[in-house]
Amino acid sequence: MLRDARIWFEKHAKYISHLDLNRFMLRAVRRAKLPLWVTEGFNPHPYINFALPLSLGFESENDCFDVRITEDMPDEELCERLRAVMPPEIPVTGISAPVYAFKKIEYAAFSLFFESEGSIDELGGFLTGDTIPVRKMGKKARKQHSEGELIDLMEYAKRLDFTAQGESAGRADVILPAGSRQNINPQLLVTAAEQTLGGGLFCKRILRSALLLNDLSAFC
Amino acid sequence: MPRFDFDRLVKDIQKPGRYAGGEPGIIIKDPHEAELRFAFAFPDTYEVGMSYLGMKILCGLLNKIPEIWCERVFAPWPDMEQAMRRQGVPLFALESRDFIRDFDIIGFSLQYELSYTNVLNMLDLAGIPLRSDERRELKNLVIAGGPCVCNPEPIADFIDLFLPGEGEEVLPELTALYLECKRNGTDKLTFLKAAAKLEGVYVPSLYKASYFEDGRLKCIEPLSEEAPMPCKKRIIRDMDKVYYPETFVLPYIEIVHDRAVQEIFRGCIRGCRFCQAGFIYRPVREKSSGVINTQARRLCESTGYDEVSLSSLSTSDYSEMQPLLTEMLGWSEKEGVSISLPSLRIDNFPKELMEKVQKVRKSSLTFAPEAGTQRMRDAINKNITEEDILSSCKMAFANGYTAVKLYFMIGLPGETDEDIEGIAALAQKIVDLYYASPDKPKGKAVKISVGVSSFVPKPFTPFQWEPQDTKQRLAEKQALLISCIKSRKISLSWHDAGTSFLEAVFARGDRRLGAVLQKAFEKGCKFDGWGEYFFLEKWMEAFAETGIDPAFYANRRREPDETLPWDHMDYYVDKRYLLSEYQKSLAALCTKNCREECGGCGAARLEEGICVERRADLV
Repeated sequence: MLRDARIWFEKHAKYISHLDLNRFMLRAVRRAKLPLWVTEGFNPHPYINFALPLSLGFESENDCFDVRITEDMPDEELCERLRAVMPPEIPVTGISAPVYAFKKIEYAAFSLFFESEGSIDELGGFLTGDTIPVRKMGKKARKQHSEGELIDLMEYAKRLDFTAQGESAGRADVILPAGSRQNINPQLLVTAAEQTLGGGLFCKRILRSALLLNDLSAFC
Repeated sequence: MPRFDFDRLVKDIQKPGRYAGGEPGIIIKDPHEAELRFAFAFPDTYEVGMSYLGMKILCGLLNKIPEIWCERVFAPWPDMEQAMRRQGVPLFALESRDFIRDFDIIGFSLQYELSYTNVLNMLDLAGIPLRSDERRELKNLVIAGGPCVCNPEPIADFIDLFLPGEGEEVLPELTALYLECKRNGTDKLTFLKAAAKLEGVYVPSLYKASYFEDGRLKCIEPLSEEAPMPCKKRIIRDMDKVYYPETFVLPYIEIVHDRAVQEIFRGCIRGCRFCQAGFIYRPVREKSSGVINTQARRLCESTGYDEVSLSSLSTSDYSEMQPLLTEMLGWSEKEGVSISLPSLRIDNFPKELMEKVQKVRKSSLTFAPEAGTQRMRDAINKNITEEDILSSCKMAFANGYTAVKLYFMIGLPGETDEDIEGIAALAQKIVDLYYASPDKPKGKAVKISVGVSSFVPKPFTPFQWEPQDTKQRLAEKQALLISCIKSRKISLSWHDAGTSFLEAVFARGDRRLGAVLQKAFEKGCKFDGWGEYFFLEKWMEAFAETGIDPAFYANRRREPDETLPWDHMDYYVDKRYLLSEYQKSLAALCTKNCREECGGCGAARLEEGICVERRADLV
């Protein structure tokens, strides 16, 4: 009897890429001895499918991947076995039956934590203004040494709040398109702020806090 | 409490995962309880160092001692080094991010002569004085192990003590002594003298070198009664009982060899005359197949690796290979683990077993004939014949292989043009064989990759007296080889002759090279083994400014009665034996391998491993 299970985890090991995470998880599920369905290709390996890749440098509080279970084993036990082999930086938080397909993910919520050499208010003013212009330097733009496409992040952001944390630090919470249809990298907010406000600004941490459906309700 | 902001430090750094630490399997201890902080320093990148089995063994071993916390540190890539220097962050350990300058012992692994500048650079980045005599305290003791220690002289100015041979027994003894001295407030010199009495410890400051006017070494003599003469390497006598890690630190980022590694024996029965490893790790000592099987299975379970590689020199010489593989396949297939053998002589192996161990990556076949003619191969005692190679290729082509890699050396002692032409001829024979094979893969072209490196004479080999070919001579030989290649199916690649030259200087150098090393480091030399960072001009300036002629070390023939800089090191291989092997080489005579016949190299003094097996046979 085959069934799919969705495993939820947090990723705080921020300096590993999506491919690194994939390799890590393949080893972790082997250590945990989960009864997983194995691909039947040239190089058989457990079937693991991640919801949405996370860029190098980002953390995530609410991420998931799907596996296919081959034996009758309760979720609690699957979860326990995994928890026992995960490092503190990548804890498993739960397991559920998949409700939506990954392609239903259209948005993601991010929190960006800034530190500023000067007053943080300037950043607050910029991020809560009417437009957030940024030059998007894609691969093509870099190759052709062009200036990149000028876009307004406010056209894409579904929500953008800024909270000052003292005089020189602050936090931006933003919802941006993410998924197979369209992606706006929250790093662009940092780039926009740097391009407009100049140096002295440092984004200490980017955290993806939720994966969202088209109506901004939680993906599950 | 971290004393620097790691996120700011790596903001624009490539591959920050190299420096982040936090991998599954790392050992974290309470710094207040760890009385002895040990930094295991690997003078190359994270990806190279993390692939090195010796580090996994020795870190694991040291961390089993409650008073010791052993952490890892690698050479930061130049972009990271620049950021560290700019932001004033000294070299730190991966596990705790504590600064290396606060550690008790910094232990370097010396795998390759061209990593010596990285040793100096890492000390400098740590804020630790480079020269041993500038470090007055017991703290920041700088030690080194690894194969290069068989001739420690070129780097002796910078290292307080070396560990010739294998480290599993001597490291716990040394750290126990260190702890005792640290508790008692013993001074550094007293500690060093006590350490010198341990078997497998060499304290260079307790020896003095003197030279003839023509520059040759006159002698190296001990300065104190504690300094043994000669200084013996240490070996592990029982490979079944020696510590082996139950798990590995699992790198997040991709490293060079990302798999479980199971050691199966030490030493090599072959005795190829150019190969240092074939002599300095004698005698051959095997682990029994039951121990290997248990350790390999445990390692795969604890790491989740789906590949285990059996590791040793000339792996297929393991005496119980077939029973071992049969035993391992009993669980590995079921658990989806593949077994890989780094070197497998496919000629003497049952086909069914070979198919099972080589299930994945069936693309290319690799041989290292090392020389182009049978005469030259006999002279270097590389006992592989053209028939071996051709019959293996024939079998491989029938099994679907279309690519063959061949490794050769040029500049071998006694080499003639005929030997160079022979390299091209052998490659051509394999091309012809492919097109003559009726059962070759249909519609596919054959691809022969020929890799050519320059011979580097090494200490403790029969060629230790030989001059290396000059750069010009090597260039002529390269040109000759290129002119002999007629087929487009054959591709040639070269190893840079400049790096081989520098390697030859430092492999057989003496203590006077310390000044050159320091000068080269001051000129910014680092990562010399990485082509993009190797600057021969800077090195030649360093030689000129210190008044040292590199050709004296690399390109000069040494007489058999000359004192060699490593003559005071005892690796249990007699100079007399090496000389007889050298003379046999001149006559292109082969020497039988240790399993066939004892050649009397001197390793039997240890009364272990294959030397005793042989004796049992003889009685």
